[in-house]
Amino acid sequence: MTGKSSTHSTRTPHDWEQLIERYYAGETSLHEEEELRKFLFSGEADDRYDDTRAVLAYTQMGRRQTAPRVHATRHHALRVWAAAACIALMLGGGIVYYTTAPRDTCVAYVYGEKQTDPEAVISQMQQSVSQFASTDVAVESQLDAIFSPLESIP
Amino acid sequence: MKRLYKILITSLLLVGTSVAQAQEGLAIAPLFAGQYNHDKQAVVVLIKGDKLKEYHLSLFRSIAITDRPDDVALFEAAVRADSSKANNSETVKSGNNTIAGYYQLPPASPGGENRFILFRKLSPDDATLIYLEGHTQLDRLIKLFINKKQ
Repeated sequence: MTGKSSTHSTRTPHDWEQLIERYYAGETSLHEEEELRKFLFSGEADDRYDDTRAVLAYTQMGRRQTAPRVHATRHHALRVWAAAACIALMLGGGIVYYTTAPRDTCVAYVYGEKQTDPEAVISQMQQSVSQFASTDVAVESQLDAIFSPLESIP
Repeated sequence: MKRLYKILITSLLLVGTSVAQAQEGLAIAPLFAGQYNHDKQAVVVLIKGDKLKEYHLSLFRSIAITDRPDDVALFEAAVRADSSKANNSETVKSGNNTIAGYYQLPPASPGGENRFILFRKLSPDDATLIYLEGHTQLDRLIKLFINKKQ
């Protein structure tokens, strides 16, 4: 095989067995484990290594299932916090708006002069509305009756 | 989780747009921007809230101008433009001249309040423009302002 310095060829069967023993003893490095894995799944290893091949396959599968979960858990937590922050911002903004924005407004500008006295403003409103009244007395009475309750508002 | 972000952003946008006033988008909207507040030939009224509740209105805005033919023409043009969107209207004539117009426009958003424009041209120089919002109907408003013809 060109390009690859096949370390498989540098180890004898005895070396591989020693490496397997060290693997089971937990003394191999990650690099050695990877080397062992490549050898066992390369086709060069015969049937006597089936047990070890099965163990390595099992541990490899376990690593794949656990490693991403750590990242997913961290990302999921961040997303939940981000969503909670968005909802809190929306609620906070809504509360600020509804508590600070004026709910009732009553103002008139009479020839440039600002008036905020409710009675005066209502009076101006009545005058505006009266422009639309016909000369019919009954209508004027209706308007008076309709808007007179406003005069009692403090 | 992308879907949740989309829902959140859409909700934010909806909240933002709902806050915008319903008269936005109407030709008369710029007339109520405040430029007549300090005009010595105008009377401007703005009432919002509980004081209008018993009339089933939530907003009352009016501008009355005197001795200003240019502004009367401006009001007329704006009312004419918005009246095309009216789903109900009534005009009062004196001879061939329209002296008052009442227009009901659909709500700015589904489920919103009806919008009303009332325009009274007293003379080429004098006019009153009223904009209302509320859960009422044009015929009820007309009963308030003029006699219903039999």
